[in-house]
Amino acid sequence: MPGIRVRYLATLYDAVGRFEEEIDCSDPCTVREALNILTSMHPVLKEHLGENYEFIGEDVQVLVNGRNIEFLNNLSTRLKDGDVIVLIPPAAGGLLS
Amino acid sequence: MTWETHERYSRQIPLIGEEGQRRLLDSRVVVVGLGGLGSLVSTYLALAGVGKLTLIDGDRVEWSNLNRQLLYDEASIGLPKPVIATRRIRQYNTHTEVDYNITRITENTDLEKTIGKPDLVIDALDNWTSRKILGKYTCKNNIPLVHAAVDGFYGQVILLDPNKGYCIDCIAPRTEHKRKTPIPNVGAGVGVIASLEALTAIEYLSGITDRTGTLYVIDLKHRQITELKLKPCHKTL
Repeated sequence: MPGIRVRYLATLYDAVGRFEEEIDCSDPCTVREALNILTSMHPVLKEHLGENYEFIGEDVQVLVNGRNIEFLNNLSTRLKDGDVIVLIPPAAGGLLS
Repeated sequence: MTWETHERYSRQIPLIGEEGQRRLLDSRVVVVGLGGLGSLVSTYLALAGVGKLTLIDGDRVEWSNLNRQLLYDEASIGLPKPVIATRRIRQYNTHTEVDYNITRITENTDLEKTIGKPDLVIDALDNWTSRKILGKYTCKNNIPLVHAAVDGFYGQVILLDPNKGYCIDCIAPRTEHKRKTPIPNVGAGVGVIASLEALTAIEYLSGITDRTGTLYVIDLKHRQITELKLKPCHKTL
């Protein structure tokens, strides 16, 4: 059973109330399955990720071991024991002109 | 290096070396965006001795800028930011050659003419639409870019060198600008992100540290900086 480390940055840290945690994910585990576990533990995450994770990519970025899942296999990216998922909300820059 | 130049930079030369200082003096940097981030970054780069600065922004100074944009004051209201910024930075360091361009970064902007081929570009923009256009240009032309963005008590900084496979889409491949309301911020908080962006640029230009591909996510609310080593997402030549 893969152990996955998850980090929540910036506003997601506020939303979840913690910076980091570890989850167990049934093998074979994908990013989608890991997110299903996380959203069941922290329902508030769905407000940030979307009911069907539709905000991922445009708003929240998901990294697996430092690589954006857009460059991997998106939500179908396979996870292995010790992998690190990072969830990063967007930072825009300032006032929209 | 003259005595005056050496004296002027005498507090930083022990950290970046004489060779590093010479590199700064010989460098050309383009700062895109002269808001909370850009006004501070351009100031720090001039103070550090960057030889040539090009300042780009299409906005005029507004009252809502004055809680964080240190280059401007009440007398600047209504005036083009690049004009005021250039004047102020020339006062800070008369040895830095400063020019400016009053323009916004859009699909129609002639970036070859506006930016050219500097040693480094600073992304101090306020929206992802312009950021993507800028990032595409620097990526195509193999120009290193220091990206920073701020949102409330949070911010991020990263050096993206296309020569090492890093471009803006490595961090946000599909992000577009959707926000229609002003982003809240406190000037002192924006200053932390801007300082880190300027420091990243100075380290790179002086040759002392190259932090390409390391994303720093700054959480001022919890006083935490997270360092994420990203993988390159572009093939290098």
